[in-house]
Amino acid sequence: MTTLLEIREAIRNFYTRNETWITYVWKFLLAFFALWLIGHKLGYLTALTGLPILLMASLLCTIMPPNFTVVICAGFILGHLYKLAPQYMIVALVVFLLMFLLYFRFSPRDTIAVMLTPICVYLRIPYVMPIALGLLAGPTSVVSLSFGLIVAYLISYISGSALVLGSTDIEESAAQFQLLMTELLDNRLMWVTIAAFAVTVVVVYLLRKLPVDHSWTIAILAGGVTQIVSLLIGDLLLSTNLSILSVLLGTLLAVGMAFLIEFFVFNLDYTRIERVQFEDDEYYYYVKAVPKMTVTAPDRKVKQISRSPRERETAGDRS
Amino acid sequence: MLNPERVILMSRLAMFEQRESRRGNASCSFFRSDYVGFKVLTSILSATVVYLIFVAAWILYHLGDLLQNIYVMDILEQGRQFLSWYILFAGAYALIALIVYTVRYNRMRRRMRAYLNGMRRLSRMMQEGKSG
Repeated sequence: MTTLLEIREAIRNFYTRNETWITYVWKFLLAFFALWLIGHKLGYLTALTGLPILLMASLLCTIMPPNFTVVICAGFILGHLYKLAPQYMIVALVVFLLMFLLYFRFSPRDTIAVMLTPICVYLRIPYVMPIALGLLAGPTSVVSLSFGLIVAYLISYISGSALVLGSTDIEESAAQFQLLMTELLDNRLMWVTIAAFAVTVVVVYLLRKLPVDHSWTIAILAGGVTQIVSLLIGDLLLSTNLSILSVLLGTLLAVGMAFLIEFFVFNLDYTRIERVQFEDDEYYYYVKAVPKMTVTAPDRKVKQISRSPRERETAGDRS
Repeated sequence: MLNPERVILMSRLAMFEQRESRRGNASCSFFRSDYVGFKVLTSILSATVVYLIFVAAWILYHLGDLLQNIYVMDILEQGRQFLSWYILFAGAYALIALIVYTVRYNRMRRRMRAYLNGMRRLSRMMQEGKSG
């Protein structure tokens, strides 16, 4: 345990000293992996799958805000789908426009969840997202998580099914559009997953905000149980043919990863390091502020005062 | 000689200025009614664009049926239905925007008040430092 704490301190100190470079590196790697994944799953427009274009786009995403990466990924997806069939691009465009125009006006910080969710689905660890968002974000992340799942299922469906290439005939194009929309709207597994993940995010968030000891641990465990129960109930009600074994194993893995997140993130908020500089009459100040995460200490109420057994024996001897 | 209390206060005020300039703190520049009104108007605009997208998607989805029934269907009635759904949708979205941006504006004002109090405290400390 001491070794783990030392490792954590070492990682924390390393991050605090090199926070700027680490941010650039993780933004580059995330953008590159997301764009590579899009090319790997779709890949209809070969101009967008080449290494030079991926590197250039990733470098651009490194220096821009995180939301720009989401916009670039959306652009790449639309490019690939346009090459396949314009009507499929329209479906994806509808989803992205709904996302950007309706939701991200209010909560632009959540856009990263839209990108991370399909990545986790591809890496076969989708169940970690609701627990992680419940721990690190808030209940409004449910919306970005839902959009992420819709994008993931859309890409999986398009890449996995033998679709007829686009037609110039408008009626046939409309029929293909209708088919894709129907598949998306009637996908019961997707809607059950969205509902189960939404409930999990809310449960984890509410429990980790409680002013009790080990609130994060309770939230993680409760989140895992909630996720399993919600998915099983959804499967029973809507017959989604969900693999119960994969749900159990996936949730176990998600709980393990959530404990890892708790271990590293709990006492220190890495994302809010701030640098300021100012001066007064005497000095120039260059300040780096690293915020602490505080937990409300539970109120301890004294209900009973009792002596220890040894004190009772001593008191008995005296009397 | 460094005064730790003053350094901490100046650091917090500088961080606040940096953060609020990034957020574009509107509480300094706008009255509540102007800020919230502008945001609600842009929200209604977004809702209108989204609704038009919904209508276009609906038309494309039902294109086969529409082409078959175009001469027998009541276009005016359909138009009235679209309009009433639009009013409901835009109204609901505008209400959500009103609540969200009013809460945000009030939070911005509270933060700005705390910042101004901090500036007054700093000013007093500087004057005490000069006179003392």
